[in-house]
Amino acid sequence: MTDISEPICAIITPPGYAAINVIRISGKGSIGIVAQYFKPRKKLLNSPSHRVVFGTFHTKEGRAIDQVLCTVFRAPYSYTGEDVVEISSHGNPQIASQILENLLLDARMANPGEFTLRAVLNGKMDLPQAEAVNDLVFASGAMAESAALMQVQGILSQHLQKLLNDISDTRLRCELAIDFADQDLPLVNPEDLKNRISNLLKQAEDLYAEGTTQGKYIREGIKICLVGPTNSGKSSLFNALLKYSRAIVNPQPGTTRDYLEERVNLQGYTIILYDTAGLRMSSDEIEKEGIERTRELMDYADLILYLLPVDQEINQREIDELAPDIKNKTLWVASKYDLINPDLYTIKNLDILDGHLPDFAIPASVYVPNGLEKLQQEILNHFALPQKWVDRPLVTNARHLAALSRAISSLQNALQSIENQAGYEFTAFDLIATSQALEEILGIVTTEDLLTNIFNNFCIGK
Amino acid sequence: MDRSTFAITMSGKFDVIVVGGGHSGIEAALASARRGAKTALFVLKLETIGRMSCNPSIGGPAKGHLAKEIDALGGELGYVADLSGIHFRMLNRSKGPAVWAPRAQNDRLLYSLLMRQHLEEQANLSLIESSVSELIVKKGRIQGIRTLQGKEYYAPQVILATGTFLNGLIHMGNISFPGGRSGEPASEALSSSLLQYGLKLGRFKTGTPPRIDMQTLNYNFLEEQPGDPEPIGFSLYREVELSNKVSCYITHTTPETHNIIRENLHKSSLYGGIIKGIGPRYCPSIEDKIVKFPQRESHHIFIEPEGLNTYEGYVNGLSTSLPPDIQEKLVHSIPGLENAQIMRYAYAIEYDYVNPEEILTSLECRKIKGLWLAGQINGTSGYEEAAAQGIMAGINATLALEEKEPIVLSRTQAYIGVLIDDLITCGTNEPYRMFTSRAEYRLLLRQDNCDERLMPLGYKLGLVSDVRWQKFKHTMELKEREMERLKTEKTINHPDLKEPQKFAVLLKRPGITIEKLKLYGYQPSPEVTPDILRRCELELKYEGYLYRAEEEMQRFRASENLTLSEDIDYYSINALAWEAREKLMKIKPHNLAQAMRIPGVNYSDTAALLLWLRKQQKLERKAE
Repeated sequence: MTDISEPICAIITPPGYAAINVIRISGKGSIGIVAQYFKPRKKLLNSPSHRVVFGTFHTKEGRAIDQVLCTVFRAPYSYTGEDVVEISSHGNPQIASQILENLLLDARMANPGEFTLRAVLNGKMDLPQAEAVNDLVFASGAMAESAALMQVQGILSQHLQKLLNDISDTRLRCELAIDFADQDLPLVNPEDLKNRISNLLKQAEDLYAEGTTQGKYIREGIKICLVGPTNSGKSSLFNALLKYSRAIVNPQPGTTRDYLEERVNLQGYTIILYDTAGLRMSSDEIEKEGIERTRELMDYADLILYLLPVDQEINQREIDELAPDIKNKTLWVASKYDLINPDLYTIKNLDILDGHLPDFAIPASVYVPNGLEKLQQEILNHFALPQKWVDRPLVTNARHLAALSRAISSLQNALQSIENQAGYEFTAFDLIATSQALEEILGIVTTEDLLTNIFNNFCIGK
Repeated sequence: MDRSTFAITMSGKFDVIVVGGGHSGIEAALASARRGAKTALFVLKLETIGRMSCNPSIGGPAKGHLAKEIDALGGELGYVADLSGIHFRMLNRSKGPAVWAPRAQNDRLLYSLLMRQHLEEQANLSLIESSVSELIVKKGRIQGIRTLQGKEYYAPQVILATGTFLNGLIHMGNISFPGGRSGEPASEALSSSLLQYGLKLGRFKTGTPPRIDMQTLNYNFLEEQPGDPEPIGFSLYREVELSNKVSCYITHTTPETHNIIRENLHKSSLYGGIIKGIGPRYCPSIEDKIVKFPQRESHHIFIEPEGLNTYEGYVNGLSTSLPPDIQEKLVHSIPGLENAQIMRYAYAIEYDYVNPEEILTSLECRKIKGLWLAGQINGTSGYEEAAAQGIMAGINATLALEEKEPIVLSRTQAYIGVLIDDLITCGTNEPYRMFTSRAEYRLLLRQDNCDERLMPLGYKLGLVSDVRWQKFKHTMELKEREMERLKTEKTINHPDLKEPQKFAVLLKRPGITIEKLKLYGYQPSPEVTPDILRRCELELKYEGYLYRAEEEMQRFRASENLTLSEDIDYYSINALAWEAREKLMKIKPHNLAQAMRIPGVNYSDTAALLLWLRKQQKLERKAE
């Protein structure tokens, strides 16, 4: 963080091809800098705040790069509180980089979160608001928003406050033993102290565990990987879950050779679905590669939907070979379940089916109305995800999780110090460290580190 | 020091005047005189100089730290405590090495006599018995003082260390009479003088227990508490021979005691509503203890001998403001004290204190330049707390004579720093007593390293003699050498160990002490004392903790380095909450760290202040 009004710029839309890209420049002289490359120049220079100016962006040498829209914000009426221009170009990443390259002749590349940092420095928002901006940018799905909302409502704060009170109560016992050594206060019982700290540790660990699993699902979405033998209906299920056709569905086995990724919303939770290549022995090099990718995805996913189509014989060996940790995060799905409903479809291969369909598989059909309802329910059940977040503290913010993790290791040290009979002042030291970490989540402390850390969490362009 | 800058020509003219001969005034006067300033110490009675008006005891948790810090700075309290000590114990020995707390029982009379002698022998120091009634102030600057007899004395620096004497009011049951201490007059005029200059005063109370004739005790019912076999005192590098000459005794209150108190509660000055002042929570009267902890069936009582030439005993734990006849009943309800004769009755005292928001962290008064306040007048309690402020006021008053910046010890340096910062930054709504838990960097501010922390400063200020300084430096060399040995030399082959280990590594194991290292082949170097060994042991064994504490301290120092200029107009910073603006304007913190601790300045205010500061710095840099 150097000069506060030095112009900074960045592409603020995600990398890749899109309809448009937006490049933002903020700081002293921003409008003039853009105007050097923009025609009609005067129109931009004289534009009032909050106006869009249409024109062409040229290189320094005068070659036209693209037709662009420039939105002008004049200080202090902008996101950062400074002069800001946002240039919307066509969605070719090449174009956006060329525009940026020219701006970089007079401006510096913005650091992650620097636009928001300036907004804070210029009094446009306070620190908690800035953090909320970050969470909002990354919030995916209704649940993420509501988790953020809950945080605002203070469920987490209340829970942490209680934890802090318990810690301070425990610490008090150490302090009494030290500071009132010459008086007749009840002696401190190390066993009691140990129990108290163990209990605190458990609470913190539970909070952390929920935060890293459920909190992460809310923050990042749930990664679900569709796996199964070729032609088991993975792509049909994928599409059905997506509710529009994206993967090529073809009865010819081996159609999906690589994997597809899509985001869907399941009762407010974001699900990242992966459709994979079918698992089968293949001599096709490309397909082999695809199968390899499938195995990687299975490791990476939070949940695997393993399709066991009712019209195929189950490859028991294939299932047996799966690693235990993979099996633990697998839901077995009896796909094409409609095939065994005589009212709707002809039973093709009931003999094969008999004794092969494991009784733990979840029936699923993309052709029957509500044929996926049970599956959706089982997915939510698998993660023990409640339908609504009420009265439950949940840590979803990465910075908060890191602080919680520090609190846990401090509590572990505190336990250790009692076991080693190191002295209550050391136990107290660890308990203070625990409190400080938790207070950081509550925003009670302020240090340079804290400020810097918050803004480092931001992506470039925010 | 350039003496010509404040040469004295006329009689009645001094460089520094100190008012009050208690623990605070003594240190102030000695520090001032030792730094070369012509100093006058005004006392109400020469015989009561350095009087221990409460326990005949110095030290204990946190107070022992203060005593040793004062000693390292070149003060007198720890030294005289050692010379007059008759019983020494190291408290917290079993609890934790970083909070060991030395404590001594002292011969009250000897303590007082020795203090007086040391003051009389001090060059540049005049002792004057006279009651100071008025301050002489011109244009917001102190000029001197006026005594009750009407005589005026002049000095550019005046230190007030009047303890509990300001408007002192003694209570015993429903009887109240003015007094500064048992049997001594109060100082009423001075309070109105302070009020006249607009200083905000508050009212506190404190109390003492009865004193009994130890010849009338039944020792069969008392548990003896002897001193430590190897007594450890407070003063370093002064070679005082320490020995235990008496024992203390422990007994306890009974259900009968509690009944007597409950039945007579209405007769207590405190519960009868006569006392308005606020007393310390942690030094409660026996009435308080019974009322606030009704479930406790018994409280400990310690009998502390008052000296070698008297049988008077201090009944620690029985502080009360009940009338004398009830006190008799109380005392006799305690095992071993059935026939005890009370020699002095307990009393409670109410006194004026100056709201610490009236002073700066240098202890100089905000409203009157050249006036310094130290000790119980600032709302503290305890000898050590008073003395700690006294020595700092003495140092800073003389620095002011030299037109130098005052020395303000940081919380990262000393308990003294914690004490003064707490008082000024947070204020106090009860008599302030020091606790180790008040010091964030407790693991680093230990009683064993007071000399390492403060002696260089004491020496620089001319308060530590060359002889002591040389001994200190020698000790540091020995310590360093021994640390190096422990870190590099290895153990012998031992069945407990897979292979020989460095001593320092082995020492980190739970249960291994430096004493036990001897089993593994460690031989301390010949000159190394047990004290040096203890320091090495602590620093090596708890290296991990000390390292983390150090890291935290560095972070804190970073915010201490963000200085706030005195002329910041906090009212103009819009991002601050209104309450924070008012508090900041009043206290004018020196740095961000101090600002953060002001009650009413919360997190978002500090963040706003930090950002404002940053912006300001950038603007300044730009302007250059």
